[in-house]
Amino acid sequence: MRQKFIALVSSLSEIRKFIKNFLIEKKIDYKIIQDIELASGEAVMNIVKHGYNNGNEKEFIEILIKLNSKQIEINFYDNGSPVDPKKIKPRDLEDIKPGGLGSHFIEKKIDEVKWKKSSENWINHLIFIKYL
Amino acid sequence: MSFKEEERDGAKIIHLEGDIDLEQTETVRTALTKAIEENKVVYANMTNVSYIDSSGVSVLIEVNQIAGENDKTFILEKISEQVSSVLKMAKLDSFFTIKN
Repeated sequence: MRQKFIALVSSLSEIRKFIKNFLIEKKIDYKIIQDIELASGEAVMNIVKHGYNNGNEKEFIEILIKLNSKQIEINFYDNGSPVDPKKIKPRDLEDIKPGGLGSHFIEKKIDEVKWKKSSENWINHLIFIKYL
Repeated sequence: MSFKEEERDGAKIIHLEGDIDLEQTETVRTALTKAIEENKVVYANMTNVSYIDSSGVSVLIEVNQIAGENDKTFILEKISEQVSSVLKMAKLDSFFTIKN
């Protein structure tokens, strides 16, 4: 299933709902849905906040969800600032301060996180794989 | 958007609601920091919060730190399973005062 959303903060809940509803419809375990909802929410927030400088009404984020008996694959495509995956690091959880938690949540909730370069005319292509 | 507020035994209760994500953080920050400025004890009631992300957690950390620096008390109450799980994952369940 594939859908394109405007790259605005106001689209974040809409994107989470799109992913969540698809997984509910496919009768995926609710705990897995919650994990994917949180991690996907963090991913699209990063795209809007950092990739598109808090949003750009002329730009888009595309979501593609693939499902088979073994795994769920969520693809995030955007044309924001190019992401260098090597620079993404969760902060030390013992050093309590606002910020830096999103990548930690993704790491905890998603089994495989991959980045592909310039696929399908998009600048960034992020892939989440969650095993069933 | 504004949140329902009430007084209880001299404390201010702010009833947060909806998804606390990047779209809502500024509203939540404004409501909670104002309450902390004006009251000695503030409860963030989270009965109607079914989703919180890292931006929402960051605001709660910020408010808790402001409260600590100003000798005020900030308490999270009635947190949902999703909120609880997110706070535990961030190792923040003992950083906050939580009452259910």
